[in-house]
This record gives sequence, structure tokens and C-alpha cells, in this order.
Amino acid sequence: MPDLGDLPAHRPLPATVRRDARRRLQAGLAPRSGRAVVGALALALTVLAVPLGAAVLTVGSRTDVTPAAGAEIPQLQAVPPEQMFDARSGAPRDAARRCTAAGGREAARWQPILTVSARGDTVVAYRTGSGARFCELTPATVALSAAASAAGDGTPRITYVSALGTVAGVTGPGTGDVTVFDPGTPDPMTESGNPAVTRDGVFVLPNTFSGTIGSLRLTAGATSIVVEAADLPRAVTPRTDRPQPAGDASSAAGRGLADCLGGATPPIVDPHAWQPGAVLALNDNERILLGRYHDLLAVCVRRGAPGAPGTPTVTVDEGGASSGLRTAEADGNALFFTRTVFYGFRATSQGASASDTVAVTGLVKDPRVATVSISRPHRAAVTAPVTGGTFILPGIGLNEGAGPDGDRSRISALDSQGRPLGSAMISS
Amino acid sequence: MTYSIGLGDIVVHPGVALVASAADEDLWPLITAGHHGAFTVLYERHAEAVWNYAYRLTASWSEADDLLSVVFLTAWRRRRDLRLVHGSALPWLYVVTTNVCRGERRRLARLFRALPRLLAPDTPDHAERLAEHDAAGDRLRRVLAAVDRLPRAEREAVQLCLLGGTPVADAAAMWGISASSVHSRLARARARLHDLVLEDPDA
Repeated sequence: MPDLGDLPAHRPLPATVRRDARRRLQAGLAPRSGRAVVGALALALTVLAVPLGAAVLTVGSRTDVTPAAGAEIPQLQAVPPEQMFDARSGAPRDAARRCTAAGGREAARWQPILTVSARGDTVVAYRTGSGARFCELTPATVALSAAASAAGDGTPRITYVSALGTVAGVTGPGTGDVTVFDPGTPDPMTESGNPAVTRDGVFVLPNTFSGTIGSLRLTAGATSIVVEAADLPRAVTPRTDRPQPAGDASSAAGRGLADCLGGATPPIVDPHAWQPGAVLALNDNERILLGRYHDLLAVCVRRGAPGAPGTPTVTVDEGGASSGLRTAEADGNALFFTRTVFYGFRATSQGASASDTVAVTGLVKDPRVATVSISRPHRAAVTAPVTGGTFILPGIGLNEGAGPDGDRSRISALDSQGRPLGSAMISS
Repeated sequence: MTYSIGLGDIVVHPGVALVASAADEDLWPLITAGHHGAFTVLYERHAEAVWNYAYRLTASWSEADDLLSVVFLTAWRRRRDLRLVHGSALPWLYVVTTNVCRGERRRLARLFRALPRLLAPDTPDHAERLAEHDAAGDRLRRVLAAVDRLPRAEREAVQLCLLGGTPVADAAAMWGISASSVHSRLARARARLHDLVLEDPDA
């Protein structure tokens, strides 16, 4: 009989093996830039184009960049800046109309390069006879940068910052992706900062940083530049060109929402126009307040001692990629979108806090929806009314349905008569 | 460059500290929600155990080197299935390792069948042959050849508990069965391994 008691002893993991595996793991975690995607496509086409014998060699050579000989790297999901900021060429008609109106007569000759958006903030980059200009729009306001051109050596230069936490600038046409790091903004997407949408000599990061931008670090390829606050362009004061109805500032919910939104990072667009939505005390220490502005959902979670106002944490969601991966949200649909919030954190023996309980908050896009209900494997359904176009479904356990069939739950939208209007799956 | 976009998916309590000492159960909800930093902590903690386990399933240190990152990338992709057993993610990572090894062998078998003339099966270089041609490795290969012939339930019990060193109680919790069932599978596996040796003395 094979001796199962005489197995080779455990070995310490060599540092080089650990490091190489970590590098491959991080390569799987890293976002794939447009250039990398093009490169991958080119490689794929090359492989298809060569004879089979050469293809086998190509597979072998891929071991330099893949974890196992010939194995395909399972790429992890990540949101590249082009997707996160919904980058598109040119400018939407309404945005172009507002920007050119703000630019005066000469604006008719401006050429739109690209448009990016996040959380109700839209930036259009223009090529003009005197350089690049950036036009920033919210539903209510417009702001326009001065024209600026790239330095002769193509070094990236910041030419526009705004109180909405937007940073934009110019760079050489051959410059690679630009990343901007703001020491004052928590949770940068990467160690070197937040990747900008970079295209045709401009880079833009809309509604990303805090409202008062200090010094910034720009990274483009191997080049890294620190731009001191004094060297940044002065923030342009926006002009209201589309006045919006004022939000509810008189009710307790309205005042509570305004208190939350005032300190958000990145700043909230048109903060005085938001309407309060559903409010729910999750427990003695945590409370959720929702707000709505057009199809934007603000989720404010206040945490603090019982009776105290608590510290607010605000997230603005528009149902797209601008708030990151939507891995624990309802599938896209025409009735509503969701934003999952963890709460009920408990202290652990290691001094950290942990939670596997979420509240599924959301915004309703169809006015017929009166209530929403989430069904869960082996648990009673949770139902919530729609308040101000928003809802909160509390007490959802992350792992409550774990098992061979997964833990997918379904959210259903119901009208005022309780008739189902539609539903979407959610991984909770 | 480490992408930590997963932070955007959750609202993290200000007291959350992603430190190396954070327990698996602290990391678990963050990983499930897509937090890259938390997953990296899990990798650093369990990489050595997974690497050794991969060796015990393949009898090849070079294969274990390659499998290490594949296992963790697969674990990331399947993080919603992550299960803690008595507070540890290691038993689940062992299951992922077992599945990855089995899938990799199937893939290679298909490749060899499809390309018999173009790809010589397994021609390690001289240095690797020398490094791996040790008595312990030979013994392990004989063990694995016999274990591969076991029925699935028994094979998985042997892999997880005897090759991986997972306590029977943890394996039972992992599979949702009683500890006595695991003991029973192991006993049957030992008996069958004994019979296999009688059938094939070279095993």
C-alpha cells in the first residue's frame, strides 16, 4: 500500500515563487487599458493567422505572461476609466449646445474630442484654435476652462480643476495613460492614483477628487510629476444656465439629506436641488438616508453612538459603472437599479470590524412602482415601499443562500395594487 | 499597480483596518464584495499552504509554482462561493486547488490527444528532472497514481485530509456531512488503496 504517512515535508514558499505568483495575480486584478486590449486582440489575430505548428509555439511562449503553461489567465473584472466615465467620442447634442452657448461666437468652430460623465457631472473636451478647452456641465450649471496647449515635450499639464473634484489637462499625443493622485482624496483606485480617460492629447477625470484640490501627482508612463497647489489653474466658477427646482429644505428628511451631501467626496452636483427619499434606522448606531436628483441616487449612511448624529458616508450612484463594479447589484433593467450597503459591523478580536449584512438600496425609474420586494433562498421575503423614488431593503445576509445553487435573490417591482411589474436577479 | 476598485462597491466602516493580522472571517465579506486588498491579504496568508498542497496533488514543484497564481485567480473569480470553515478559508482554497489541478490535467490530456505529433508530452528540462527525481517525489507519485484510481468521494477525502492535512472536522463542515462519514470515506479509501497495491505491485 502506498505510504500516506510518509509524504514529503512541507517546504517554505520561496520568496521568488511568492512574488511571481503575486505579480500574476495582480496582473489579473489590473485594469486592461485600451492599448492592452488592442495588444491582446493583435496577439489573438496573430495566433489565428499563423500555421498550427507556430501556434503551438505561441502557446508555449505565453508562459511568460500566464500563470501556467498554456493556461488561460482568468481575467478579473475591473472597470477601466473609459467605461467608468462613459467616455464617448464627440459631444452629445444637448451638451454641445450648452457648451457652445457658454463659449460665445467663436465656439462654433470648436471640435469636440470626447465626452465623459460621472454622477451627474459631464465634461466635454474641445480642440480649439488656441488649444484644448474643457466644458463641465451639471444639470443646472456650465463652466468653461481657458484654452491651453501641451508643452513641447508632451509632458502632461493640468489645465482645469473644479469645485466638483474634476481634473483635466493636456498631454502629448503620444503620451500613455495619465494617472492623477490626490493625497487628500481617500481610496485611490490604484497605488499611483486614479486613471484618467486619455485620448488625443487630453486627459479628464470628472467628479473624482475632493472639492478643494491641493497638490497633485501626475503619472504618465515612467514620468511622475508633482504639481503644487499654487501651480494649479484657479477653479472656474460655474454659471447656472438651466435652473433646477430647489430640493426640500424644510422637512427633517430634507435637512438631514442636506447635512449629508454637504461633506461628500467627491462633491455632489447641484446639492441644493436634491429631494429626500427613504430613511431608515438600521440599528442604534447606523441610519440610512437616501436622496434623489433626476436619475441619481445618493446613499448616506450615518454611523455613530446612539443619539448622536454620527459621521456620514455618501455614495452617489447612477446605475452604471461610475461607482465601480456592480458585482452585488441587481441586473440592469428598466424599473430600478440598486446600491448595496454593508452595515452592522462588529468588532473582531483582531481589532478590525466586519459585516456580512447588507441593505439593498435603490432608485426607481418607473413611476408605477409602488413597492419592491426581495425574495431569498430559505428566507422570508423583505418588502419596502417606494419613498421619493427610492427604497431600502434591510437585513439581507450576504451568505444566507450559499450552497450549490449559489445565493442569487430576486427583486420584484410591484405597482400600487401589488401587481408585479418586473423583476431582476441580485447576488446578495 | 494594484487595482483596488472594489472599495467603491461597499461602504466600509471607518474602523476597518486591512492589516495582515485581519482574520479570514474579517476579510470574507470584503472579498465577497470585490475588495482586492482583502484578497491580497488572503493570498499572502495562504500562499505557502496552497503551494505545498498543489505539490502534493501533482508531485511537481514547477507545476505547483504555476498553479499557485491560477488557484488564487480562480478563487477570486469564484469568491461568491467562498466558505469559511471554523473561521478559515484554507479548506475552501484546497477544494479550489483540487478542482484547478483536475481541470488542468483534463486540459492537458485534451491537448495531447489533439496534437500528438506537434507536442511531445511532458519533456521537462534536465535540471528539473534532476531536481524532481528524488525518492520522496517518487513515493508521492506512486501515492497519487493510486489515489487517482479511487472513487471520487474517497479520492477527495484523501486529498483534503491526508494530502492536505485538513482536520476531519473541517472537511466534514466543508462538505456538509458528518465527521463519521469522512472517517468512513477515509477508511474505505485506505482499504481500497491496499487492494490496488495487491492488484498492481508497482503502484
